[in-house]
Amino acid sequence: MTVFNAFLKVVKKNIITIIIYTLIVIVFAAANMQTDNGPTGFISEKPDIMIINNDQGSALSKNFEKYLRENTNIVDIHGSDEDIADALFYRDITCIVTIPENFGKCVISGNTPEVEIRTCGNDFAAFSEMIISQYLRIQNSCAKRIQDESKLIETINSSPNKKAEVNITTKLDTSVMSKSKTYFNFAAYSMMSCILFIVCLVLSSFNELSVRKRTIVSSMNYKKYGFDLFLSSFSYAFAVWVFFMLLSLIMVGKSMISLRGAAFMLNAFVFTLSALALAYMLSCLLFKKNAITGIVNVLTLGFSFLCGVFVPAEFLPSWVLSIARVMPTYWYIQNNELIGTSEHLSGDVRSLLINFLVMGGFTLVFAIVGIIVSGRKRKIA
Amino acid sequence: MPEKVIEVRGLTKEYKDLKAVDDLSFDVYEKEILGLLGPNGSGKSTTINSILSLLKYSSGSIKIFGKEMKPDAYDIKRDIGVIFQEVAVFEELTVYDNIDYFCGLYIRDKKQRKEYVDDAIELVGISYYKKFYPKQLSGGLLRRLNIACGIAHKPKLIFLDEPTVAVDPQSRNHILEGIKKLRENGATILYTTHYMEEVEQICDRIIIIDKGRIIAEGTSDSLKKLANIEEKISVEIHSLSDDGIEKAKKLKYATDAVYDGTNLIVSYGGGRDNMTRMIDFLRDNDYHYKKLYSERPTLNDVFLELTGKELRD
Repeated sequence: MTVFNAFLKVVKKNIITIIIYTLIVIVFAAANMQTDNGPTGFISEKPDIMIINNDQGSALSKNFEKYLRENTNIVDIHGSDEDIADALFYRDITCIVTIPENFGKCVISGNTPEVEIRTCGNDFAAFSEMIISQYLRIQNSCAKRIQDESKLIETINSSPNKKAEVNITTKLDTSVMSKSKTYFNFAAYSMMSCILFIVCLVLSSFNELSVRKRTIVSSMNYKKYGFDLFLSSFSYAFAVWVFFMLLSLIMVGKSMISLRGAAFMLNAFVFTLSALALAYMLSCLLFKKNAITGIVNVLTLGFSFLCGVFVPAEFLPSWVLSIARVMPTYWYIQNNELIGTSEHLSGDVRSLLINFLVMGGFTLVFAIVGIIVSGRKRKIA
Repeated sequence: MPEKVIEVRGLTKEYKDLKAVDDLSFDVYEKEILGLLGPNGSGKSTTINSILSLLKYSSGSIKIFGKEMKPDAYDIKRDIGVIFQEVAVFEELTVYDNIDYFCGLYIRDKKQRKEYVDDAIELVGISYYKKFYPKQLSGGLLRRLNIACGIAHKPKLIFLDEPTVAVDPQSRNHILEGIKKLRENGATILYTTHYMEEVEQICDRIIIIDKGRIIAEGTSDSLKKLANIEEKISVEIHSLSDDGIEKAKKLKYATDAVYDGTNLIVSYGGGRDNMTRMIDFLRDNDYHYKKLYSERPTLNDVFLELTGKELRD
């Protein structure tokens, strides 16, 4: 109990740091979960375009113009060519469509008229181009088999209005899962920071040469002393895990009391073990206590940015993800993704287990390196 | 005859080509303070570390309380207290918690431990600083805390490895008084230092070591006889010719005279009224001097006589 009590006293001395890291996860996760709360629908927006119709007499050109009026906002700009070009440059319109003379005749005769499109190059312009090309493709395709103008117009108008029926069959509550995933992704940073910082700090205090010498010459069995230190560190890491799991119940809600919630928690526990082993290895490798804060910040932030904690992994370039594979956080995040998005968890058990095993492997490697370094340090001579 | 607490026989510690400790043999008796005196690098700390099994020594044998000392001799370690040269405390724990922690490595009973910790705090005189953190303490107070951490469990044998390095005179006196008290309470003490005044002040017996070997052993008085000096007279004099130094050497009972540009130091092998003769010498030769004082030989003189170099070199 002597070692455990001293361990707790050192932890108590650093309680402010723990509170700061906890607040970080609460603030960031809450902010991101709020974003996830928004409606998962779409609001249709129409691009602003201008039409110059040089084939006013043709029914086909009028039909094309009518289609554009239904699917875009038509803006009329009165002025010179320069004024029109300015409107395009200043994004007042995203696109200018020029319908050529003899547009209708050209279509009826089976040719493809050249519709001139000038765009400002932004996303809306691309959308406008998509709308225009969709109409022209249908028109050209129908014109190959229909020569009668009115029949052609009727066929063209009926085609784009076909609607596909979509049924959502999944029972997965994506909104809740997204919340859970966000919370557990952010928790990776805070949990690792809390464990690395405190365990490194405490263990390096216990491992300081002068303190270690005094311990070795004492009547306490050195193996028991080592075991007590391990038990104290494990208890602390376990307490951190329990705390963040309780916090997840508050922040995510009742959905955590489910198989999926348990999977998230188990993943966090395996990750906690990796973080603990990493902390142990670092405490054995570090010679200066002053360096701990800096190194822990570099590692936790580095892991978080590279492995998809702060920025979703799908937005990260492949070379970054290749580097991230050598960090336990990557495999933790991968499991969070699987748990949060998989329709049936049972179908992904193999992938989940592989990720658990990789994290376990990291734990083992960190622990072995730590034990070797610690053994060498013990030989004072 | 008091019991032997430590028996060291033929202790040798080699580092590749260097013999840090060379065939060292000595005993430490119950309730005595044995001083291990030697310049920096003479092998004092290596000897202590070997005795405590912190170092694997090359050859020899070490017995403590009549039993062979080994790294896992926890029954022997229970009665040993060690105060190392470097301060060994937790920065994150208060003075009280630090002493309580190190005492807890030996004493499990909370009530007894509290009593022991309070006694240790009292002994080194840091009661006022109980709730302070080490960073808030001065160098001297830190050393006192370091001592309290090493002796709180009331050990029978205490190793003190240069505990007064970089300590102010007030704290040093406090520490030395504390060590005397520990002996009065029944502890046996092995004290290493390169401060000869300290060993003269507190040690019953002194072992002088140099280059890993014992060069002299005995009480302070018996060792001083080895210096072949009875008295030293120092004169602060700002100008003295070689002729003057030669004249000083020829004074009655004088064995040597040295002039360093400021002080003339004349050593005497015996005789009375050496001071009177020195004053007459200075007056007769019309030497203007500022200070004139007589002193007994020191352990430094012994060391100088035996090795040809100063203890502080």
